[in-house]
Amino acid sequence: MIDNLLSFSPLDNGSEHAAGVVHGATYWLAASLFILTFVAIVSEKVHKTKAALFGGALTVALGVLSQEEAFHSPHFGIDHGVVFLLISMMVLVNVIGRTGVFGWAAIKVARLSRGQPMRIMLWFCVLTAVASALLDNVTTVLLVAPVTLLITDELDVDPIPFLLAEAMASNIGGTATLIGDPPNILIAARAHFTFGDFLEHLAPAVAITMLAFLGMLWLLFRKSLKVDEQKRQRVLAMDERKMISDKSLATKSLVVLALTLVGFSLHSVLHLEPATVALLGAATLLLIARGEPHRPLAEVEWQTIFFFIGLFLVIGGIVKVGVVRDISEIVIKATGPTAESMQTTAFSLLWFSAGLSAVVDNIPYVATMNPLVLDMANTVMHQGAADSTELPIETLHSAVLQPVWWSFALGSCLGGNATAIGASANVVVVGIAGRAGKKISFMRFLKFGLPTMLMTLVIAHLYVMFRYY
Amino acid sequence: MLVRDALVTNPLVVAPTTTMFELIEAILGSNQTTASVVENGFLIGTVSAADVMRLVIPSYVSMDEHLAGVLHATFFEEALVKLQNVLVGHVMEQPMHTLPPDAPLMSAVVTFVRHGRKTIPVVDQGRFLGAVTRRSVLQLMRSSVSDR
Repeated sequence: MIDNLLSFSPLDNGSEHAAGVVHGATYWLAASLFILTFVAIVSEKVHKTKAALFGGALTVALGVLSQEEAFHSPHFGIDHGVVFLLISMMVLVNVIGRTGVFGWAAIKVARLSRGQPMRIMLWFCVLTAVASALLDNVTTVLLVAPVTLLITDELDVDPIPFLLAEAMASNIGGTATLIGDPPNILIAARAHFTFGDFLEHLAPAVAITMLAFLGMLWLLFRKSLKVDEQKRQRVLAMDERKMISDKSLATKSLVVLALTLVGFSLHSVLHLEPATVALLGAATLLLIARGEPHRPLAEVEWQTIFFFIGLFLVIGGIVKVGVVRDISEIVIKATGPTAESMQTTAFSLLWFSAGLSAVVDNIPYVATMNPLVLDMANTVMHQGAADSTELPIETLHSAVLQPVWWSFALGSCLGGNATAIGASANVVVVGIAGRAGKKISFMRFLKFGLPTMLMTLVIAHLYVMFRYY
Repeated sequence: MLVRDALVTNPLVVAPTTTMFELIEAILGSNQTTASVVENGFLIGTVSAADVMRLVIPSYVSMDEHLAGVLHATFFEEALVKLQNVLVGHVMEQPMHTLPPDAPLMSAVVTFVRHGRKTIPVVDQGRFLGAVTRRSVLQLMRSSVSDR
């Protein structure tokens, strides 16, 4: 059976594919590997990294992708840019996280809020959103949650509304930049957007969304979050300087992080990819930090990295054999994009992405949809004549296609707020609350998350409508 | 040499209804940091100074050790007040490492080293007889030298 499958030349199968043609065995093999991998990921019976890696390894071993394509093709294989951007940012965060600088900022903010819980909640959300835009969301909530527990303990108020708000602020903030949330990294890699593009198109939407979110928190909690003078004094008495364990490393880390961000935004001048800039930043910080590199490297979330690697291969397989092209034809029929306007497609993608991201991991979703959007653009704008993995930048960034990308990113990132499993930051916050003896049930999360998600999606919808249509 | 040769017959013993605050008093009044929890003559658990400390560490400090530096001055005072409401019976560990009186002394030595124990309750069919401690074992070892 396997011999039979291998006797098909994968390259022929991919290039000769066209609508209406009877699909070869490789087509169905790639589709089955994709479906089985996704069923395994969604069912959570197998760890998602194991599922993706096994599916990816089979995709190569059974010849859906050639070994050359798997490891060296930028279109079908592992996207090393994404992989190294993720690794490098994780290394940076690992070093910065251990300096205590985030706790320093949080306690400073709490004191500047004069110990008033409502203000602290709002400012912690702002801090979380900004940090999530620059670092990854999970790290940010891992850093802000313990300080939140300390402060709410001192103020004797319920920490759950704070923790929920922070998880959501993290997901909203992460939407703003190229490096803020993995879906954005994936979209940037495929659509060749720069750090500056994200700031220009998504950051304003996120700023408006964030203001609305803060307004919502104020309306919800302004009456219940009141404490007496004595408790406020406890927060005011804290000394944030004691949070910094290594002042020199803290300073160095912040300087390197700042330079890395400058490097990202100078793409048009330096012509360095985000991965290159991040790698330079991480390597510099490792070099100037004292001690062995073992710990910051070992603490890289290798599970996430290998999850990406497996996904790239499985999805590369279905892109190559033409499964994605067939699905994209369905999307085109359903939403009727034209070379002049893709408005229905953009809004459908916004809401569809949000709905799916609320219940499944948005990383595999975006990784799958990316080639689909590319293929749709190719069909509509080039009559399918171009190579969808190598569309010219004028097509990718055309006024017609841009709103589709941004709707896609907004939906995938903001959708995660709806449920306790919608985003990694949510899962982490629920876990931390549990460790502190404060259980957050699925329903409790949903009651707060779903309205938040709907509100932010309506804002995103209006933003796309007024800005692009 | 057997475990019974190093048996301390009046070790630190508390009841499951003892509060954690009272446990601290009991520990401070003895030369041991682990207590056997005994009910109707039967061993039902062990509890130690480490358990007190575990209760005192707030979850946020175990998540981020940097926060240890910003706790307010009266933190321990308040934490200990809370321990007045916590019963030993809710905190104690099930009796895991116990030895019968006729076990070889080496079994006690191994348990001390391998499991980091400071006190090992000695039981005979569940009935509490006493305990061997690192100190009682060392004393027995030394006496064997001086006996020669």
